[in-house]
Amino acid sequence: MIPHRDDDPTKRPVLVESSDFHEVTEIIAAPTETKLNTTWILLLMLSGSFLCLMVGLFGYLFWEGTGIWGVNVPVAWGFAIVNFIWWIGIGHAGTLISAILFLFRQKWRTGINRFSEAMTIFAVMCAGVFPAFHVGRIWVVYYIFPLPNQMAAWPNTRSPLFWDVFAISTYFTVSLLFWYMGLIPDLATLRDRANTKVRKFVLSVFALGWRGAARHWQNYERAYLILAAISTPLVLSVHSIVSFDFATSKIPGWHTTIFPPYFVAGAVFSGFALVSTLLIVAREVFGFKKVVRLHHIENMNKFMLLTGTLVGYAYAMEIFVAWYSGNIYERYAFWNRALGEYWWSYWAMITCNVISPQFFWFRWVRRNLIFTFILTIFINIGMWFERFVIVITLHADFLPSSWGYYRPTWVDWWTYIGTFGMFFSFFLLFLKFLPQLAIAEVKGVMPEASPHFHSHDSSNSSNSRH
Amino acid sequence: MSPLNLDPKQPKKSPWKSLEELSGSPEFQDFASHEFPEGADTLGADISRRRFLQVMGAGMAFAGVTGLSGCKGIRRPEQNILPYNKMPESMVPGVPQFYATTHVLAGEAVGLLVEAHEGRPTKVEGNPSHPASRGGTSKQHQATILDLYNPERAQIPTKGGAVSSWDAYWGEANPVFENLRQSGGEGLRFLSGANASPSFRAVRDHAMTVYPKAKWVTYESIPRDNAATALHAITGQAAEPLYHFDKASRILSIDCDFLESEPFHLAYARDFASKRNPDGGAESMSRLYVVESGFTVTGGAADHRLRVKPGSVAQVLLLVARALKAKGLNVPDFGTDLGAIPGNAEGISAAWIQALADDLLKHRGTSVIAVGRYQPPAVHAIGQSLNAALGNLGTTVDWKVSPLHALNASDLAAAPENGLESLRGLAADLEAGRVTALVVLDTNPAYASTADLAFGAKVPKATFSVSLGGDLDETGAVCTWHVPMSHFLETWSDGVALDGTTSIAQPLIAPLYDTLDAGEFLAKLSGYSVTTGHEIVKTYWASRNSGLAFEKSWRQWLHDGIVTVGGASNASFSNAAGVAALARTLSAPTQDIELIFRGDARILDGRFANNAWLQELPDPVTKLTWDNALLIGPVLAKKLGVSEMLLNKDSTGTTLADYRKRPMVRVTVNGHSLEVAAWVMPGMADETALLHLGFGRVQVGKVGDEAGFNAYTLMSSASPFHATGVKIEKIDRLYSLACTQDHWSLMGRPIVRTGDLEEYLHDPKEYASEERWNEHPNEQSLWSDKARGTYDFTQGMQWGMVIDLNSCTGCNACLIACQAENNIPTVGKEQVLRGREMHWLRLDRYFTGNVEDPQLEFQPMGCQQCENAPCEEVCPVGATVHSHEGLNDMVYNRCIGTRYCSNNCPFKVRRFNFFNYNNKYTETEQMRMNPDVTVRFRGVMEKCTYCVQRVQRARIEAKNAGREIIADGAITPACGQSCPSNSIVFGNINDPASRVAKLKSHPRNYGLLKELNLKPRTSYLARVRNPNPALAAQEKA
Repeated sequence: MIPHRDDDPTKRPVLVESSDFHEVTEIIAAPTETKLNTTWILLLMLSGSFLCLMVGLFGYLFWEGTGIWGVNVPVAWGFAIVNFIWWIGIGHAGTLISAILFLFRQKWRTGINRFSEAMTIFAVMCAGVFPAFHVGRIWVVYYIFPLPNQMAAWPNTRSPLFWDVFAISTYFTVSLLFWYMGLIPDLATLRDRANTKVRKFVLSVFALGWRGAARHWQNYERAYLILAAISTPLVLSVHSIVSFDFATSKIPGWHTTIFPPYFVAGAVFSGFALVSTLLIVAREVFGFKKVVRLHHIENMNKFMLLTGTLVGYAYAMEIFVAWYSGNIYERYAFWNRALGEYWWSYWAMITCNVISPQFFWFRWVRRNLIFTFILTIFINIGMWFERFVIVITLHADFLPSSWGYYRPTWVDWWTYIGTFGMFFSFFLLFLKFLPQLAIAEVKGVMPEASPHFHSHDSSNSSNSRH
Repeated sequence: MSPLNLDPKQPKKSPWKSLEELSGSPEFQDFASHEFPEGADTLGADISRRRFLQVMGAGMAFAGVTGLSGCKGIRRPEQNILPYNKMPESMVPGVPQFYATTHVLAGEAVGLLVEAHEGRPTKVEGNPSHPASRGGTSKQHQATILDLYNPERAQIPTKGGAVSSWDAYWGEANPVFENLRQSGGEGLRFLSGANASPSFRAVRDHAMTVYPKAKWVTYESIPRDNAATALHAITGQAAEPLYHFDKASRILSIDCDFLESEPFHLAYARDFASKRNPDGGAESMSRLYVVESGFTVTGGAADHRLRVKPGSVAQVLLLVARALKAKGLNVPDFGTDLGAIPGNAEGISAAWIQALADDLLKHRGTSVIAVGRYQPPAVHAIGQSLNAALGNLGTTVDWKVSPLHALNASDLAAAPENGLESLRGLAADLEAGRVTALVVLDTNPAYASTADLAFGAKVPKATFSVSLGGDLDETGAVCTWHVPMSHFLETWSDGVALDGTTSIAQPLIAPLYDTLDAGEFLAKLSGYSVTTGHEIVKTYWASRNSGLAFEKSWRQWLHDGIVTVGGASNASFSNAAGVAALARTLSAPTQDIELIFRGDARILDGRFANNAWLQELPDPVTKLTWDNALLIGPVLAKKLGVSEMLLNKDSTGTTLADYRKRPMVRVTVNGHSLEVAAWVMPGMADETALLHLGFGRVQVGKVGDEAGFNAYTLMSSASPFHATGVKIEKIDRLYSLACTQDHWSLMGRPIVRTGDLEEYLHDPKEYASEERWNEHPNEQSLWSDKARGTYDFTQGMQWGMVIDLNSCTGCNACLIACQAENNIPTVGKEQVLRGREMHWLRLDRYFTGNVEDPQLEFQPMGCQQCENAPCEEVCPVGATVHSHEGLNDMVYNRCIGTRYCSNNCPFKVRRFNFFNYNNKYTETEQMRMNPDVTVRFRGVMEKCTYCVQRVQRARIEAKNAGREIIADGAITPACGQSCPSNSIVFGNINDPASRVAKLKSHPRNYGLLKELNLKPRTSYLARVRNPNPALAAQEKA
């Protein structure tokens, strides 16, 4: 049997710049155990006020009607759906990192999985508010659920929006479970370190009596594997189904079979970008440099290079197929995207999504935090524009007589900005009250975790402590 | 009176709701006497001060909550439903009734049938037996319903703007008129609009005998008297031309918009449509030549359209006359030297004139030369003389001597008074202080007259002035008194149409407010023998038709809407010298920029400015709503530097916020200037600008005030509708114009299919076929209809519609009929700018060809009722579903408003209630609603239903009559019913004998976007033009 390189700790990349379990625990647990920091409070107040703004604007929407947004006929979907898809896309990195990379035994994922899973959950929450609130009659939005009722009304199972409901709720549920399950051993660690009664009590409740027994670990590993197997198809399905909103329609520029893979690639692309953006800041602020190393950042940048190139290929293929199909409506839709009234959004998308990730071909760019940070911001903007370009394709479809123009209102803008408030409010709370990295998992990828570590240890000059 | 007697003291005859109640136990009686359970409604005697304050505080808080304006919806308003005390005859609640009446608009009488629900008129239809309607209606007829229930109508007499009363008015007016009676009416002036009512004329004649020295001034801001003046010069009689386009194979329109804005245009549209059938071969289809400066729907219907500067229109006619004379036609001598006219002025091709003259000569006796109402009498005289010379008189043209023309004349033998001339006289009299009392009857010259008259400023010089009008308008504001006038649906009257047909106008509803109509008001003022409208009309007709049979005929007239007495004769050509005299008044064409003024296609001269339906109705050609604009051609626009919004490139160089903002220009003419938004209009004559009247009012109401630009401020009474020496300069201001269709090009898409008669006759099957028009192969369904679980559309009644693009004139009447029938709200300019107009039916307008001289195509576009409806597939809650009769139904109650259906609609015909457009109606406005159609709440999608309520009504009627199948023609959707040219045909496509099924199998029939496999139930008949082969070859070259 050929030994796997992972079997030899000396040959695998150093994922944690520490050889001390205790130090790892200290690093990760510290932010949750220190006093509230003024900057954190100010940031929470800032994001909280944006959250309040969002709530207020949804209240306004509820009171006044969808007309306060810029939507019209023909562009009956505007910012709400653009933002929805954007947030959902961002929510893709978490599951990919947790599930697919787990199944592929990509151990470097342990440095970022907790963080990105949390991000996924909050991003899906931000996404979810849009489809719920963008409908005209919010008070009967429950008609979309298959609830038996005396009116004998039943959802239309042919509608992609109905599929969306299930895709997103399933994704949210599984992501939340996955996240929570991964948290259990770490919550137990925090519980054991807790020094106040309340803290101990709360953490005990959520740690579900975890004692770190071998039997616990055995069940845990099995459950983790099962959830990973369940989540893996979800990574592909959620955005595929979201793309069906467009792909199953009749509208030129929407009605294309390339959408599912292209949406998934785009989602992973934007998800990794936002994880990178936030992680680069967090590792500086919270001092995780030993656990989240340049190696992690570089790996994520490779993902962005791959998915960004896939997305670029999809853009090119869309244009080719539009030309090749000979369909005049399809051809015009793409001509119009690039050269029509919204040309600026198309070229913003191309610049940000296709050109900017190409810098990641260079190793020094991949390993340069400032460059990476700037490029991830570009990618996030670009992916927003991609969704904008797609949705706005509505403005010029079959009959030129019906063509119109979409212009967002101030409410559109501030609602979008408000969702950042929601995202960051939750995220700041997470940063403060939960272990930002998976303590147990990080320890698992340290050389010391290897059962053969000590046999190596005798021949090595490593000076590890227990 | 409620049938339920809830008085507990009464013996128990009423239903009981519990055994306790039935037994009548004292405990129960006590319990039932309390509205609320014990303690809930009483404070109790032993209440403490503290408790009292608590309860009061809570009560105040609740009162505050319910009193908030936004919270009124929390409690359902208290409403009483009361049965009829005495059932009106033949009324069945829920079943509408129809009454014949007559609408007289600026002297044009059109017979109508008005639908009333429980005594509320809700919808206007044309009277099929009235020759001026033939079942069609105009936009304005449809919109009158809105005016009736307009809460801003004048409801009470006002003095100087302050609310007063009729008693106060008569108290002040009676002594004035008593004095005038003593003096024989010295200094008394009556001012009215054109009259078409014989009974009103009787009252007027009486008034003029009571006040013999008074003067009667008739003024209409949109001229109609030019033709009559010309015919009076030619024939010596008061006559007006009446055309028979159903017999005309060649038509020359000299600036004559006979399809939309000429008197009798509804009948003309139908007649014209009947001669546009290409199936009879090359000779049976008419050919229309149009000479005009602006772009009208008649120009859009033309086979050949010649755009010339306004000052050259007469020249074209003279050139035609010369060409005809050269070919040997006996053209009368016009006194002008035809030979001296420059042969080939700018824009007038000699070949065009030649080909036209040849065509007219070849069709002697079956051609028509129609001259527009804005042309001076000289052009009418020449045009009508040519009609006589071509032998058209008596076949395609009649010079009608109808009682109508006598109605407006002071002397029955004279021609009708020239409106502007007499108004000018009145203004001079006012200025000179010769007017002691001015009585204005339903006309508004303070707004709708030329700027140099400054009529409004002169009115206060009269010692006493009163204005009777439906709105407190600009004239009402400057008169001492304004008194409210009844709406025509509240009025007894009568009217004579152009062809001499007389019809009675009977009211559909008693006046909503304490108002009088013009006849009643004048009768009171002059002490006429009878003073109610009913008596005035009836006694008049009794005097015309005395005898025992009168009562019977009267009832018949009311029922049919047509009076069988009276009639008209025809005049004949007798005085060539008259033509010559008029022709000499023609002025030579000029080289500078010319400006013409035209009545707006929707609000006319401004009288409908406060009508939101008409304000929001897109102009047929420009598609502008809520505004007028200075229309200029692309060439002039380039010259003025305002052409950047041309050719769909309007967003270039503008920021998002500037979108739809248009440059403004300053127009200076006759010493007056006006800053107005410019709009580039393809097909305008070069060096020509056009401004529509009726906008920019200041005293009309919330809807019309400040909408658009007041064109009257640029007009001079010397040449009101045509100004030369115009200066236009771009100014540094932008203005938002709400246009419902920004993109005018067909983009080479096979949406409107059109071609020439020659092509059609060559291969009718090929003409509109998919193979010819559509490169892309049709999509095929993977599933059979059965497998998809759809209904079997080969069974039962299956509804479908065919719209004939060949006869559709683009007039927009269908659109507003739809609005009236289906309770469609208006949304206002801001919302139209956002692209949220609610019209279920659009009238798509495309320009094809050269942008400077394009052709115009129209296409009515409502829900296509696709069998494979893309909207239905994507609705997550099943709120839009198919009926077994092939209708794509909306279930408003189920709709949650995802708007996905609209996105997936390839035609974008679905409309969404972005706001609650329907919650602000006053009680009177609510009366106008059609009770058969749900009023939609915000957040739901809506769209054309094929007037499903009419389908259901017909179904009930058929079932009551014991039939399972609804007869063909029993259902007409509102759009089809109003259509003057009968272009919209609806029916059962499964019945091979039905009209619609026959049209569906016509070779010109095609469905839109067939490649998407939508199977739309609405299809179109491709348009066929009939160009002159001699010119077509030249144009191609």
